[in-house]
Amino acid sequence: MQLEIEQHADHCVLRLIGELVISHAIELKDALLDALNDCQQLEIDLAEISDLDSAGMQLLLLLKREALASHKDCHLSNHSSVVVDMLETYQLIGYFGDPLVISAR
Amino acid sequence: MSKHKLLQLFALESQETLQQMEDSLLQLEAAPADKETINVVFRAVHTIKGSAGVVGLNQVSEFSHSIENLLDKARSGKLKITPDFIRLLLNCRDHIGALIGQSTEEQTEVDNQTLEQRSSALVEQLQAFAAQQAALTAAETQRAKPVTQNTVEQPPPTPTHPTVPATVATHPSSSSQPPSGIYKPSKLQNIFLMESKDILGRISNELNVLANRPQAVEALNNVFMSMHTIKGSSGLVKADGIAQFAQVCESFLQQFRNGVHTPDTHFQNLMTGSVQCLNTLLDEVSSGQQNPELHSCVEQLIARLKAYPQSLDAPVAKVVVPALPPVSASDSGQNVTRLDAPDVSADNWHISLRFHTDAMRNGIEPLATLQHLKSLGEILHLNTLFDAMPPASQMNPEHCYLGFELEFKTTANKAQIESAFELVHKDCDIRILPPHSQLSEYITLIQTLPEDTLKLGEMLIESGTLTRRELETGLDLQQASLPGDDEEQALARVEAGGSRKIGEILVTEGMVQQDVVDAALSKQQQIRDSRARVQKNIQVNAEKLDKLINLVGELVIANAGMNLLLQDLKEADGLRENASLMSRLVEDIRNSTLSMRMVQIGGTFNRFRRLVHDLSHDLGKNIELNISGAETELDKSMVEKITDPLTHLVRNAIDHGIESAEQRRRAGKPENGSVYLHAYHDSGSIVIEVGDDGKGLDLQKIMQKSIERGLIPPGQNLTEEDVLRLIFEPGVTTAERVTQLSGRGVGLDVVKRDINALNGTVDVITEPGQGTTFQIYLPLTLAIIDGFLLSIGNSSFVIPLDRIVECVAYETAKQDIEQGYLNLRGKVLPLLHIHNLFGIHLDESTAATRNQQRANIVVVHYGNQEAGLVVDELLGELQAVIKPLGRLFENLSGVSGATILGSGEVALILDVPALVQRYANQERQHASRRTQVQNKLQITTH
Repeated sequence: MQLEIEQHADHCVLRLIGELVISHAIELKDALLDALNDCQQLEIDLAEISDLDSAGMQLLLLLKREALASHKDCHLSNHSSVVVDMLETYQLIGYFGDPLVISAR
Repeated sequence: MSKHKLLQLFALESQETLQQMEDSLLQLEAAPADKETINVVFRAVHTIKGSAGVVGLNQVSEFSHSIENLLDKARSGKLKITPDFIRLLLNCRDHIGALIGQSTEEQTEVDNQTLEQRSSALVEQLQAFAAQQAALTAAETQRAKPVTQNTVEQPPPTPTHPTVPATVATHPSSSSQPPSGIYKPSKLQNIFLMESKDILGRISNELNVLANRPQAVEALNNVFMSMHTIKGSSGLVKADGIAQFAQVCESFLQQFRNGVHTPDTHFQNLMTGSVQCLNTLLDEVSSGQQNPELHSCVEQLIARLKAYPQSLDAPVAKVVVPALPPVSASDSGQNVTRLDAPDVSADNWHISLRFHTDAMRNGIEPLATLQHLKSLGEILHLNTLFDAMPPASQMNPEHCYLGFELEFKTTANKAQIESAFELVHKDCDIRILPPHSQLSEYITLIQTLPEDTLKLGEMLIESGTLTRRELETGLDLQQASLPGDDEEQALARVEAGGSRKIGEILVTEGMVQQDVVDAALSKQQQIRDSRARVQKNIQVNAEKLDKLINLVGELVIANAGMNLLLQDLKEADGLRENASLMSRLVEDIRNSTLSMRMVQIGGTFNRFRRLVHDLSHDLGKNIELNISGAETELDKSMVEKITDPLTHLVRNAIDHGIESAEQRRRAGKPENGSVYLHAYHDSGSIVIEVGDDGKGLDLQKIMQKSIERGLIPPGQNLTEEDVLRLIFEPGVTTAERVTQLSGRGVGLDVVKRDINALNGTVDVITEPGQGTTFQIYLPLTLAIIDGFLLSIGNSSFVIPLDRIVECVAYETAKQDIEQGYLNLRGKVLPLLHIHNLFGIHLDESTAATRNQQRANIVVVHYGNQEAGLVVDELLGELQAVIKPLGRLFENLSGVSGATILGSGEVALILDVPALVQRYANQERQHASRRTQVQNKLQITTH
């Protein structure tokens, strides 16, 4: 699991690479919350997510909730197919409210 | 049979029917939606109407008819069953009873005219009620669009489940229905209508079978035969339209019987339509109205039936039958409406999942669970809930905070759905709620369950409403308050109404819907009732039974005699063996013969439901009647005699015992008072308790009243027991005012007299603020008892075995026999010298033995009192056939009967209660004499 943060002028991009699963959950939680803390607008790039489980989804939910609570902007982008599947199954697309690119599978 | 006899028979029969009607009405009040109960009431009234007509009681018959009309409306869901309605019906029931009583017993004191006036008054009330209801339904129909999903009337949705829609059967036509009573079908027509409705119900059932198994030849034949019957009987009552239609159906069916076609969807469609049509046509006959729209529909249907199979080209159109006048909702309507019911979105399973925090750590992946569920059906809608997730700082990313609410569409049943959660059930709270259409199916299923289970949980499982795991969870919850019970016991306790009801728990936990539980509960009641009914049904002439018991008694004596002779015989082992086998058989015969006389007290107890219901309503108190020990058996003759005293006591409990709701609230008690009837066996006695949780008896007031009435001198110190005994004296009352029910001070003395007449006693226990309990002890008047034979002087006596505690050898050297008491292992017992009591002359040798050596003491008990009887010889156990002593000795106290021994000798049976009480009285007299002497002394010293 890798984390890359790119600082831009008005927002930062957090790129998550690898498995967003329960075994990394504890370390990820702090890293994600720190990232949100440090900027006003956070974009989470999910293009390189190879595996996602409910614990991982919970973290994304937490992040979104915290962002909404502190009036920050947090969205997901470049969802990988596993992410799309999960969001679809959990019917959470509306909650995150991000545009999705539906791959022609 | 003479007319008088016929009348008597009718009166007897209708008593039972009326009782049944009353029971059902009270049941109906608790569960107004229970179709079956309404039907029971309806049938009861119908039976009375019919039989009254046969014996020529036109007044009864006409009156019953008007009730029947109204009930029929209630049955088809056109009338709502309200408490007022039930009260009215109960009044009507009483009135029928009065009418029958008047005509059979030729009572002159009740004026015939008064009864007639009352009849018409009640009929008017009935009609007024119907009109009022019709107005109400009309208003409702206008407000809400009728729900056609199904026609099963369901009770109003409970607040705990706002999702259950109220599918009240509303017929758009009910408002246009004129009040009943204008047109009356003839008696023959009525029979025809009843019968045909039944037959149509059966046809519907068979059609359902055919829908599943089109090859079921038997079902097809049944449908054919039923249709044939309708054709025949409708011709008989000149209902030509029906006859004609039935004939067309019959020939239509013939084609299928011949194997020309096999039943398919067209067949189903046409037949269900036809059944509905016939139902409507029958309603037309009963209401006497013509309905042109219906006839055009019938003609169309006839055309289609005749044209089959050519009509196949037409699309499978559903058969629409005008709902005018409404179809009886009972059996057939349901299938038809089901056919038309659209696939509404609400018709899905609702599943709630709440994963435990440890779920993910235990390797559970909620996503996988959902994927697995998809293999069973389609998730139409899913709501992911994560509001259980704590603030970021406390959130443990390894914990699971997820929950789901989902709409699930599937053909699987509840158990199958649950199996999808097999792996996760330990880590997840699962609630599976069936779709609404399933609900009515469950209810139907529950109603058709075989009557072999009385357990609510089992019933719900059998119908598929509940899964076993859910039941276990529910039972666990129930046990949480009372640990250390297994499932059986828990269920048993619930049946007894002990703790929180399992149904209640299951509903609050969201495992099942209230409606289903209601259906199961009423089914449960129905099973209980039917069981009670089966027990009631065997009627044997009491005289014949008595004769049989007498004969068995003789047999017992003869057997004893034979055994005696056998003892003298030597070398007769084979004979002896046979004789002992015979003795055992005789004993068995004796036991089972005696049990025939025994009846359960439950029937008597149940009569009080009505009393409690009426009285609590009259007095504006909310009172529940709790019955336990209903299966306790006692002698039939006693059951009849115990009713009056019990009525008195129950009335007292309601009127004086239970306080008003206001007072109860102030005392911190639940507003609903409860009166309980409890029966149990206690060593040879039957104990019946009548208790309440009211304010208890005011001892001070009883004292005061007794002094006023001169029963006791003022200033006397009495024990609590003594004071309580005073309430059984005539004229003592604690009521401040006389009500219509009680308070005149006449009652308890009568109760005591009645019970004493049965050789019983009555005690009272009271706890201020907590309630009062009357305990009635009754002997098990058996004609044959297990006794213990002993001798005093030259006479033999028998003591009932269950009165004996022990026998001790009494050393005369240690204690003086005249002392009057005995120290038995530190317990002081009074000694009763039977020979003194009965004036038995002891010959010199016996007296000498007594003085020199020792005497035998038999320790007997009655209630909580024990006493020692001084006897000479203990002769062992025997079966004693009780022979009454005859008139001359009726008032003899201390002896309850006589028996004949195997040797032909007569032995008296000692009446232990009387002996013990006699002693107690003596003691009391002594005591009061002592206090009087003391009082006098005090006076003289002043």
